Amino acid sequence: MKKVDIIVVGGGITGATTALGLVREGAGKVLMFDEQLPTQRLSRGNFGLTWFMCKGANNPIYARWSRMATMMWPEFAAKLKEESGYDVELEWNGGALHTIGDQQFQAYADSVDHLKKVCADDGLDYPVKMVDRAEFASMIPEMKLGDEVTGAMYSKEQGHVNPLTLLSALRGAFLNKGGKYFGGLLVSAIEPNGDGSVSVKTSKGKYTCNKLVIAAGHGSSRLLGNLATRLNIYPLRGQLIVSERAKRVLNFPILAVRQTMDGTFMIGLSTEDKAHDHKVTVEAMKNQAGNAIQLFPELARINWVRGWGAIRTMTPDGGPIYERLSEHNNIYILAGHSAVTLAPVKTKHIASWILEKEEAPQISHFSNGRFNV
Amino acid sequence: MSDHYDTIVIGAGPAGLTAGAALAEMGLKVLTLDEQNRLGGQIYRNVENASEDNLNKMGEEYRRGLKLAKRFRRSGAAYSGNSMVWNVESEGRVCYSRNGVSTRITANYVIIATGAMERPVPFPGWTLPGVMGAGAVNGLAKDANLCPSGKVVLAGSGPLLLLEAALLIEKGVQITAILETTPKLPPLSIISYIPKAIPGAGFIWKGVKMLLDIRKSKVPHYKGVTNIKAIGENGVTGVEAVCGNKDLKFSTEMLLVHFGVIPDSHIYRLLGCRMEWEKTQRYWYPKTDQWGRTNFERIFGAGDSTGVSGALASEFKGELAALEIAYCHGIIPKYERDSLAEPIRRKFQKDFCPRPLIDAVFAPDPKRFSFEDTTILCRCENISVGDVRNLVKEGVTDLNEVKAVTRCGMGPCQGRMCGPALGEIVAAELDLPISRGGLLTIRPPLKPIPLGEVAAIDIESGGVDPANLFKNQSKQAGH
Amino acid sequence: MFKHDSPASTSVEIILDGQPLSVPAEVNVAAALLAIGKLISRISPTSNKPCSPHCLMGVCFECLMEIDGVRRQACMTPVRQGMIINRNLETGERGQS
Repeated sequence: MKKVDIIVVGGGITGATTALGLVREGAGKVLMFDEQLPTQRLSRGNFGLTWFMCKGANNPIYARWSRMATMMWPEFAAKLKEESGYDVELEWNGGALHTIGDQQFQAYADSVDHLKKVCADDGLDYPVKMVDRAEFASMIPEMKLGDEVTGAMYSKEQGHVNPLTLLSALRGAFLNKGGKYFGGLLVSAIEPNGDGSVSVKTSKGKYTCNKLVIAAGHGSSRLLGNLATRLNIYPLRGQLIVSERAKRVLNFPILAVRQTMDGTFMIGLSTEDKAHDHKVTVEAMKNQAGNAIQLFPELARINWVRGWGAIRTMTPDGGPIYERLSEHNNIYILAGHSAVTLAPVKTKHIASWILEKEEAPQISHFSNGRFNV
Repeated sequence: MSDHYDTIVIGAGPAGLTAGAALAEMGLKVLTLDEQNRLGGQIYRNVENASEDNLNKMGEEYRRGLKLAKRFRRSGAAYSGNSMVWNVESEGRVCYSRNGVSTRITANYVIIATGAMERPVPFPGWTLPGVMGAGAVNGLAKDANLCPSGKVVLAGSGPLLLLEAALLIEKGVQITAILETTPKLPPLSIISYIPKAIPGAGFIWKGVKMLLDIRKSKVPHYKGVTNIKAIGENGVTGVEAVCGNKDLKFSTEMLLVHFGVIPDSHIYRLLGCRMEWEKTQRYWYPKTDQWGRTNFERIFGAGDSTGVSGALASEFKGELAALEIAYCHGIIPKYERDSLAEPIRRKFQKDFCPRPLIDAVFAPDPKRFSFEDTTILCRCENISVGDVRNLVKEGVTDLNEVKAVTRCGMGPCQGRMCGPALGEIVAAELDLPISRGGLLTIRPPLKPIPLGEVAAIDIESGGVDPANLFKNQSKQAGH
Repeated sequence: MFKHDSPASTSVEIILDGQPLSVPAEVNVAAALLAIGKLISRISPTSNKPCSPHCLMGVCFECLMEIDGVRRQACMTPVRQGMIINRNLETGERGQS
């Protein structure tokens, strides 16, 4: 029988950031179990934005949480490189959301004002502004804007990262700091023992731990079983277009189009309620290609090379779920989307909270039960 | 052309042409989509325009393509060349691109007849200019009447390698050496295949004659060769190899390689067809029933893409698929379908009987392939074998995770050139059988198409809200 | 590299890397370029090394080049009179020197 301090079930970005945070805080023996089920690897379908803009319009706590996380990113990336040797290619040149037509420009301007107020009421700044067409065009001198583009919502203080390398970096850093990673391992059952420890039955034998963290995306519901009430996540499909490599002309991400450091354009992001069907549809591709060309007409000649479909774990209000089970308080459940942006706060605050060292005030606002009002 | 067909056939090689012709002859509305601009697939490349000279040189097998082409034309099946299929859905919808325009069409049934491809085997220097497939040069001869002007080295295994050697010798091309990885003596196990192969003796005799022709030419012919390396900086200048205890070295500006053929399985995988692993020939193929139907009711496979058995067998598979589809349309009753199928199955058995013996003689042996860490595995993204091995050592077991992290398989060819070897390498690292390893996920588009073309495709794009990611965040918390 | 088995029937004029050239007609672009001795098809954007067509049947993508403004597989594109073909051998696919 194998006894350890903490087991993290789930090797996506949420699981890996938490596991890394735990070993950074000196949590003892930490294991990460990762089934690597291809259909459930939503961390692979990520756009890679480290982004706070537009988040938490009616949820100031989430707005603050996203903002905190975004601001921690540059330092987080540097430390990850030190710990793992992987460069996650963080680019911190700001981010924009373009507008089509005057009405949309006005609507976005209104939403910026609204969020400024929401944040100000909470003692937080919201460094976002609207830029008109001329200014927006000057930010992207090497690509022509489509005729209907009227401007954009923009913030200097955000960026994007390579989400696939991020996963490797997190795993690498975790391993280098003494964590143990098990890939291709199926967890079949979780059994809290009377003495405060938890038994985890896996395809490679039984493990026992003092604390258990479940961060398995869509697999979490199955693992929770009847240990707690239903996990409030629902599937929301996102599809992405990935292009061939081209000359680098776009240095900051726009929500619908970003260009990576090696020249590939990534175009997205749809939201569709298709349950767990992660196929790529021609309809979505047509729509997204059309939107991208509306923004940058020159993209019409670039080749679409591959598509991705992934199923987000979305929550009813968009914020994450951090819950310590009331009946088994050494079991934690983490869920939600935007794991890339939130990565730094997971390694710092979530790990601290799990180790009962310190609890950031926001965490209690992200309980699983908050939706049952 | 209107949009809906009884059957869409993808591919115009022996299987596609036969299936298309057979269906059209029974009165069904068929459209054949061919990526090439002339029908014939690979084996009958450009057969309708072949000169009498070419027809003679390429032999009886090539001439048969002309017969097939004539039947196809007479049947009235519609043919669309230069039509690149980039998406297929199991409900019978096909998207293809032609002359810069993409269209989506529908059919009651789809027959995938995409044939086979040369097995891509990485070795040091295989990405150098001047290293080409033996099939590539065969195609150049058929398409453009071109043949190598300088000296050539041939390397690899399989009957097609020797066939190409014999053909080049007949054309007077200077072959510096033939480096066969096949061992000098076939494994003893092949003895069990000999009795069954006897009815196909004619086919085997042709092969023996071919070997005699090669022997007569006095071209240096090595067997049991290992450690093939292409040498050069910006182009191949030489080839090195090991034969027994001899180190071989040749200077050349053209290295033709061929390591057998494997099914072109991308469309099946895109659809999500159940795939199975062929143990002796080492390739994945779609699971099909006796008519070629996959696990999707409307999707059929025919020809070498369902399992490599040659041109004649491909015709038979095409006929069988057509019979079943005709029956499903109510054109012929069941007993007619079965009685027409019976002689086809007998011919198939007869044609097939020497194959297990040939396959056993030329079976790829993973123990004879050694991939060095520095060898480039993914040509498109320049990822080495070592990069992949390191990741597996870190605990990654899933091929698609390896792809996501290393980018192996993410380039334009979408894993066509690196997929087979990637599977072998990861399985070897994990000491697991390949059948457990799975396959790289295939998504549309099957081949790259310009964004402008996708945006302009004539379909309803409704039902998708653009980037409404933040929509639900305007709901009150606890709503 | 390659020679004709029998004399080429007809030819067409194309513009390759800015230079007008005569190539055999009725063949695919990759074959046409190989026929006039142009072995290199592109510079790989990942290895920065020269590439040549490898499979000539649409599988390997080594023959990707800009044909009339769009990057295509030369072996799958029939050559036509007046085609403008850019291999970008100086700067590579990404237009960076």
